[in-house]
Amino acid sequence: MTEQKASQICIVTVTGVDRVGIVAKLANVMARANINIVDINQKILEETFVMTMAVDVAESAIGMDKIKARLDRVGKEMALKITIQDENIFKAMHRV
Amino acid sequence: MRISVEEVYETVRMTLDHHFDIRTVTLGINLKDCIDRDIAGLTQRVHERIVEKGQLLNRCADLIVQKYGIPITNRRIGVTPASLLLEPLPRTKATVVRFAKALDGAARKANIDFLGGFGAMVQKGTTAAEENLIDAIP
Repeated sequence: MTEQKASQICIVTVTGVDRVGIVAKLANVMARANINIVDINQKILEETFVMTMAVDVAESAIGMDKIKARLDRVGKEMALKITIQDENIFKAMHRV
Repeated sequence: MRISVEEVYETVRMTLDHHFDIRTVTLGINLKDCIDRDIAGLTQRVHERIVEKGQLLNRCADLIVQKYGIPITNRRIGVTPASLLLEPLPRTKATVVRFAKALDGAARKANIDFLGGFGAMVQKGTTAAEENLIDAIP
């Protein structure tokens, strides 16, 4: 048996106005919860700043409800909308 | 292939701006083994079963909401048709009403939005218990 654990990828989405420190704040939340950041992308879509971050929550020290609460706090501080959702919801919506 | 920013944004906007949700999740519960010749025994077992499974449904639904970030608007339970469960009991309105209230109370306690099953399958004729149930409906 191999020791390799299965990954559980979630997508964090940030929408709002771009400003200094968004990535830093989010990376800090993730590091504290032992969540690995797998990928980061960002774009301006319909004049809105959109950043997506793929994270692996398999080894997370806290549950989804707590991650969500911490992200909500960051969102409030920085006037951003932040969501976290399992990657499979996007696969189900966009892949055949 | 990983999902693109555009695709993610499209789905996130559906939930944030367009109220995309899962309208209802439903759990079917078989109550046939709760049947009793005594109404108190029947209602007690039915109550316990619905509350136990209903709370479990709510916990599972909450986990799904957290995992996928899509709200679930209604949690619903469907049970064995009431007329079947009332077959061995006295054919009185009081019996039917007491059972209906037990269903209602259990759903309320488990925080379930809808409970279906207060009915009878009469497509091939009716039994006395089924007629009694239909008569008891205001």
